[in-house]
Amino acid sequence: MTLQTNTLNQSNKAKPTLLNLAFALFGSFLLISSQSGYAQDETKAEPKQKAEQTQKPEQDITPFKDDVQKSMYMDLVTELRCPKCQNQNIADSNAVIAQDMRVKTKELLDEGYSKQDVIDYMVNRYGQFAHYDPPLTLATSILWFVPAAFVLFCIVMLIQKSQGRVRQADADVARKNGTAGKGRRGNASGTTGSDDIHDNLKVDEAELDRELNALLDDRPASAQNQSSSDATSSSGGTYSDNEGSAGSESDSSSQTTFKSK
Amino acid sequence: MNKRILLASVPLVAFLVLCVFLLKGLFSDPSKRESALLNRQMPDFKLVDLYDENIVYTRESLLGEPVLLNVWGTWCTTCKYELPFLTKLREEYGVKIVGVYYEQAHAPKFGQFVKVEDIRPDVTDMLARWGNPYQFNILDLDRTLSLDLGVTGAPESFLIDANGVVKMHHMGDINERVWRNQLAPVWNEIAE
Repeated sequence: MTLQTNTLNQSNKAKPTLLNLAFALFGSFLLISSQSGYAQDETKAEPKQKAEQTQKPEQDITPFKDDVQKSMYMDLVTELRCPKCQNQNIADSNAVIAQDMRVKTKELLDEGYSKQDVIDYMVNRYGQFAHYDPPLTLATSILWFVPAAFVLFCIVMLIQKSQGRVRQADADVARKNGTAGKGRRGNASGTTGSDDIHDNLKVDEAELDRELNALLDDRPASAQNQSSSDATSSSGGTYSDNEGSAGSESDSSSQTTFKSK
Repeated sequence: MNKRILLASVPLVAFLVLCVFLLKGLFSDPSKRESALLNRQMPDFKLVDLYDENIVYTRESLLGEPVLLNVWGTWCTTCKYELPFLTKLREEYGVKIVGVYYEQAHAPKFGQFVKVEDIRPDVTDMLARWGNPYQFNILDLDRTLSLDLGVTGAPESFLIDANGVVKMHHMGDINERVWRNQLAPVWNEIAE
């Protein structure tokens, strides 16, 4: 108990500090962003012109025939993987090999290669590693089938478990009805389980009877003991007197009722 | 009862399998992978000699006897340190070594140009200092042969048999240990 309250207190204490931290971070972020915003405003005019100047030759380096070729090129450079870098496509990477591959991609497109042709060209040289969309092979099939098999397994387990629970609930209901109305419900559901339940009910009834009998047997025994102790404590005269008077009373009453009739 | 034990052990088994898988991942080298060129014909090319533009090399220039094709450049530090051992291979074991000069700074499409005249003195200087294992050097200024070979950088080496079939593609430097463990078995096979 003491441990629990301690942890509760700690979490209560931690919450405000976390909130404070979050507020502080948010505040500083606002401050920085607003400052940089001002800085941008002040020097906006000059860099914009510079950016335009530097962008122009870049556009000249890779002039595309049309939008179709451009979109094909963009697809390819994001789909092809740099063989030198750990996990970058050739558009992201600035490695020499990635540059070469970009240039080659453009060259091949100019020669009239299709998208798949270019991919095949690269895979032919750098292996399947160079493409971010690997085909379904024996090695890659694990990636597809294991999760699917796991989900399927879970569904089957779930269904089995829920069915088991329903059966259990049925059995509970049957047991309740059985004690009240001699297992009528158990007979109605004619499954193999109901026989067992019925047998159980019989056993239960027998047990209950036995218990009841035991209780009944117990009662008189104690009562007799009590009365005998009473008898010993009280004097014999009054006992016989009472009996006698009671008997006379009952006799007289019976007589009166008889008379009135 | 047996079934219940079996079912209860499923999460444990799954966890252990995952552990083994991840543990293996800890000690694996992700940059190590099978070359696409393995057991295939050496790609065709037409490139000039590093020192003489009049000498043109093609695929046929490498045929006839097994060769160790070494992709290198003066800009590459690791290449420098493998030169002494490669020289030893040439002198003591008679391994035919041909260099493919890989110039990484030359990129006309990006406005970067390197002149061959500027490369030559660097090469001469470096080979004089560290040893010259090469019978000749093929100048791959535009890195076209390197791309066809699936080269990702330098140094990289290929073992090519007399018929021009690529038998091994090694990424990284060649030293005594690497040669003995990885390249020598393949070389002995193709040199017979």
